[in-house]
Amino acid sequence: MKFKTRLRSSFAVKSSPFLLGLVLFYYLGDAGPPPQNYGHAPTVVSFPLFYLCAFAYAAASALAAWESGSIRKFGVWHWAPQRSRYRIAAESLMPVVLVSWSMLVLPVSLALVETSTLPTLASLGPLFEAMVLCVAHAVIGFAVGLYLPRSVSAPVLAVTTWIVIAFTISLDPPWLRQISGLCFEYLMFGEALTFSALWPPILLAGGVALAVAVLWMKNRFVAIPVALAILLTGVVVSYNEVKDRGYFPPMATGVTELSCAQSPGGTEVCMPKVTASALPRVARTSQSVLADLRSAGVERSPRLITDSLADGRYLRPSTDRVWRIPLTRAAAQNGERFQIVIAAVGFTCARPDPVLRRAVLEWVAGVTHTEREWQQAKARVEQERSSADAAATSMVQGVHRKTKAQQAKWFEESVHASCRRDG
Amino acid sequence: MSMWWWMKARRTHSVVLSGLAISLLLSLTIGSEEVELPSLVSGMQQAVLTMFVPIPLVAALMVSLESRLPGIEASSVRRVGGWDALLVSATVGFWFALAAVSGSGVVAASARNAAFLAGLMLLARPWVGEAAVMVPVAWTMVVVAFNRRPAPDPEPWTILPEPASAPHAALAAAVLFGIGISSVMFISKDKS
Repeated sequence: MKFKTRLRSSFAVKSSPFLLGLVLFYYLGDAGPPPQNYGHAPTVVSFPLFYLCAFAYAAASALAAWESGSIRKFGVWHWAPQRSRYRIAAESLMPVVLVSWSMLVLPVSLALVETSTLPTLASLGPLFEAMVLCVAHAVIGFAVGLYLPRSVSAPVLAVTTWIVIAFTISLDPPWLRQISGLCFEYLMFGEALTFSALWPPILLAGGVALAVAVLWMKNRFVAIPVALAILLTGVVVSYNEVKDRGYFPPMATGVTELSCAQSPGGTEVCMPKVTASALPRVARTSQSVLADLRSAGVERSPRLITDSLADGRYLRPSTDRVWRIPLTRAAAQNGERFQIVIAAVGFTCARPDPVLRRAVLEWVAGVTHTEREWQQAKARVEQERSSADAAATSMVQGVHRKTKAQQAKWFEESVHASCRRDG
Repeated sequence: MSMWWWMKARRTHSVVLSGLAISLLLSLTIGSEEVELPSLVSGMQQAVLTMFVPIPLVAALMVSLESRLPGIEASSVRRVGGWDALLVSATVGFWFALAAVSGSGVVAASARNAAFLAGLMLLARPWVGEAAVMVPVAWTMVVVAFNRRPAPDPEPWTILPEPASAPHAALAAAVLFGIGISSVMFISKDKS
């Protein structure tokens, strides 16, 4: 059959208006580029994928099952011994794979265009991973469709693939979501998934797919042991890789270009290129803070003051020589001066003595002309504390109205949920 | 006598009974569970599994209705449309009976969903043939994507996540099932 004819007659292509329509609606809803993405390509690419990849796998397996069900129904599989089964499978899976790929490529391209972001190789990793997984799920669906009527295999595979993979986001242990092929939802600025985040799902689903494909060989005595070996290797190796992971997949940080300004005192000030419009001002401010401290008799000489925005979620502590400060966020509110002052103080532990800490900050605020910011910071802490108190009180009032069993359930869930974001 | 070839052709014993058994088992065991799925509006949505448990049954019904003896059925001597309608009604009816016996709201809600989804499928079947089996799946995807409110009180058009006590959902299921059944009875075009 000619390629065009095959496309036109394929069930996958006929259902693509519904599938791509749904993708488009998802995109226009929540799955568009997240706010505050700073044009960071890994964030822009991965966010739509989180919403749509399980859905694309479901489409791939269901549509493939429909194709192979038709092949079986019309006898092509068993009655055409002179044709390679791999050729038959590849030809009928071509439209399926193309449709499921477009369910991924379409929203990613839209997100890149909307944010006018240029994709980088690292940012496209999750897209390639999801595309490979579409092929794997298509092969698995094709294999199931050879044994069940297509009216059963297609709807059942669509629902189970979709639910099982999407559901791993709320399951413990956390390695389940790292191996299921569910795309990671939110990469922060500066972060990008590394290769070790991408291959375990491919090895698992790909191993299953390869194993079932080996079974199509005519020589059963060779096929069965080889298929078992592939299956086992895939499961064991991928499980071993992910079994100790937390909620977040392995990621690189600082994956962004920096703009730096050299100041006369030998201190370099760096911010990400995309947010560097405030860099000259920030560089001047850091110079003036260092000068204020020096005239008060305090010597601080950092080699580098850099923006912790590029560190993503794993904030690294500052050292004497390298200060990591949220410069972009602070500069957006004209608050960079006080942030630099705090970094200049350089407490050596995470929880300094509360009285000494306040005394030290009050003194240094006076020296560096940041008394107003210091008062505001104290007021903000006070405000947060009282609003957290109010929220907690009203939450507990609601909990007291529940049954005993529900209260206990709420308690356990909340203990768990309150540390969940820490990874 | 002619009922026997019909029963065999439709594979009622093997296909419909196993589809029904799987769906019932699912609704009795995991029907009340909730799964978190990415959704359009609220980011994530708690979707009740009662939405999905009828899928094996509607799939089995489609297999059964599509297993036919075209030659015999095309001759208007034997009218099988009535029997087909009876088969579908009896299957869904059994689910409702089980719900009544068990008194479980979850089983009742999934029985209503079975009626709704079967109706939806049978309604689409004269136009798209066997592919109508994907229409119930499509509906569940649309519900998860577009429903803005969680399960006990979803948006009214969604039907599936509604509790068994929602009168409009029961009415919608009854109407769709009625239309679906009549299309089985009166439209016997062989489209595949």
